[in-house]
Amino acid sequence: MKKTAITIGKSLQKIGDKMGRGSIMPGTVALKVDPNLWKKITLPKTIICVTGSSGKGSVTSMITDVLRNMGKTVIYNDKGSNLPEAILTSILEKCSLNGKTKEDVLVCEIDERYTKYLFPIIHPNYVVITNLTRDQPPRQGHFDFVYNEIKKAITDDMHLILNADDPYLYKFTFDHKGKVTYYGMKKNGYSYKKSLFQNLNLSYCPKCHTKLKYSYYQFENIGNFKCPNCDFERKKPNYEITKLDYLNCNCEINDTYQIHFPFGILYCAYNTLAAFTLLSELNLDKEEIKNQISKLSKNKKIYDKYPFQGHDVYVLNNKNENSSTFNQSLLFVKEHEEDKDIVIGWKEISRRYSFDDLSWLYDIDFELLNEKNIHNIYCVGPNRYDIATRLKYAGINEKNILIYQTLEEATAKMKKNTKYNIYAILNFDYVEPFNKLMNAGDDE
Amino acid sequence: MKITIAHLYYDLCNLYGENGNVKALKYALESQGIDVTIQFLTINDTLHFDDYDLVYIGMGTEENRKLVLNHLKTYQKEIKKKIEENKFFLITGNAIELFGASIEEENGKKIKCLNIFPFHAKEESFRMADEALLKCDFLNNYVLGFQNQGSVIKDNQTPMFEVLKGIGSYPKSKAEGIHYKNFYGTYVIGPLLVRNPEFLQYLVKKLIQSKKEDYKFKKFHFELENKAYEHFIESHYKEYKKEPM
Repeated sequence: MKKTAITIGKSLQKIGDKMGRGSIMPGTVALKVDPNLWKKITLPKTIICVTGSSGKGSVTSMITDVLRNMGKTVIYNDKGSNLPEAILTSILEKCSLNGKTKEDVLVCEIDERYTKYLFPIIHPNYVVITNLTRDQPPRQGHFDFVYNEIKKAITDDMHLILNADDPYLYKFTFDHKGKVTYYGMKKNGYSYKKSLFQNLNLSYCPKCHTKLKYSYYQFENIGNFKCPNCDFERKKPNYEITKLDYLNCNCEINDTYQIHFPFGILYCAYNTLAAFTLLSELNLDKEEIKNQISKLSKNKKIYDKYPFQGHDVYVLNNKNENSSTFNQSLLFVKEHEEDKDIVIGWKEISRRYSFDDLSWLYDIDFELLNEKNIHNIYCVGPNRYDIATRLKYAGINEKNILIYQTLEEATAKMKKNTKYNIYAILNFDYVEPFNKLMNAGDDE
Repeated sequence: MKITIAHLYYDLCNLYGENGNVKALKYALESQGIDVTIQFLTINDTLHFDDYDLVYIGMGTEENRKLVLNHLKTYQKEIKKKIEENKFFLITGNAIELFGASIEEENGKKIKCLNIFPFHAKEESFRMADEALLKCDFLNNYVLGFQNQGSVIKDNQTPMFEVLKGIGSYPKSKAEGIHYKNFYGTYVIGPLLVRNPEFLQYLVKKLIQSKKEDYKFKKFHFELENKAYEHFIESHYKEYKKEPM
């Protein structure tokens, strides 16, 4: 039975691969043939799982690339799905017909709500939880709900890797008897004193429910916090960004390791730090990890910035229904102080479900766009009036709100009118069409 | 004229962009020449219900809601009195459950609530999320919204809406919300008033008239809001399209 299941899984994986899709199906079918298949597979000795609302794809891919470049063999579910069956598909691709794997490491990007199914099967040694933010509320409910789901999956034999700057994540540690390693960011030139965001997931102590005090913020409720009533406070991180330069995408970890990261935005620095932390905890040479990450970052194809009619275009790829990624993009825009125009839009709110929740637009602090150096704001796509209305309530002058049904119309207008740099905050379904349209006219 | 809005538990009941409702009230009142103050208040603050013209509470996580309830309960008598005296309350999402008799948790434990309305809420083992299309007797247009909740109310006696599409008070229910005097409560989350400019205008007018009956209103500028509303109806509920007012 086991051999049949593995053979079927392997062949389906090959077919799916050729057709460029089907990362879940082979694993699902193999489990139908042999429901006990998971138990019959010998997994690599080191198993790393990365979960969280955002960043898990970037972190796992960075970890995998560095490991491979450092001579390790890795199984990694990089085919687009982060459900347990997709992880099984990746294993079936590599394992022998007896179910033996010879790779050194299994790296899994796992959907938050499926950890409770996956972890009891594969028992990860390392679990990185990047963050728990507002993300697809119609599907996820809310962050406490997601927290409870992940918490069920975590056992004391797992080594947790967490962001020390995020008070919410400490909820995982209160009764965790296993090892916890923290990464974080020291106060730097981008830190700020007064909270810039209104809708925070947690602003009260998770132990005693007293309002937390912050000496500085990095973003939303991420920063240096302390409970005025009990002993709850930010822990000193084991791995800390001690210097940060967004402009040149450079940071320094623990005053020693200078690392180049792919894009000058907060989550990118944190994701890079999370990967560095995990890799360091595997006892690999830190100097070499540093070199590998920097090399990867430099070779990464950057779609994010390109010239356009004598100006620069920045494309910030967002996930709809995730106010935190949007807020980071707004903070990025705010930190770039030159005159600019903004583009906001998407093709659909969600590709997962048919209904259109708009509440998340009000979790985002569009008020940050209320700056003298921001000129026109282009609202594009099926929800253009909803975006425009949100901007109106953020206090943006209605004269500066431009409304377009399609990207074609909006980009045509930009080609005629643009006097400034353009910052496009787009859902991933608009990124490629936007870049194509913008580049099409910039040949001359 | 001065109007004070109390946005209660702004930092605990802030789950689904519901501060949009407070932004909408502020904008619409100011457009009528009203001097608006928003008081952001939470569990560390002392509440003075005499000072507020309208009280707003939005949706919170199950855990935050318990924190809020402990604080709110100390004002039970005052709140009951104010509702009877026609004070304006706008309550969205699961915050409406705080005004009922009790909430039964998933484990069967019952939490006592304000007991202003006699209904009982119950937390379910599943979450409910869907668009809402609702109808009420004081507005000409349908009300658009979204619901995302883990609990239900099955014995509410004073509903606000008839449910055309969506979850309602519980799956497949025909009624939703609570309307009693100037208490407006609904499970609808997020920017209810922004998305329904007629509701916003109705509420703002009533609120102003409660202070000065013959107030001369200026034109409301809801051009963008109306376009957003009409576009949503057009793309989602063509069969329910009405002629504009």
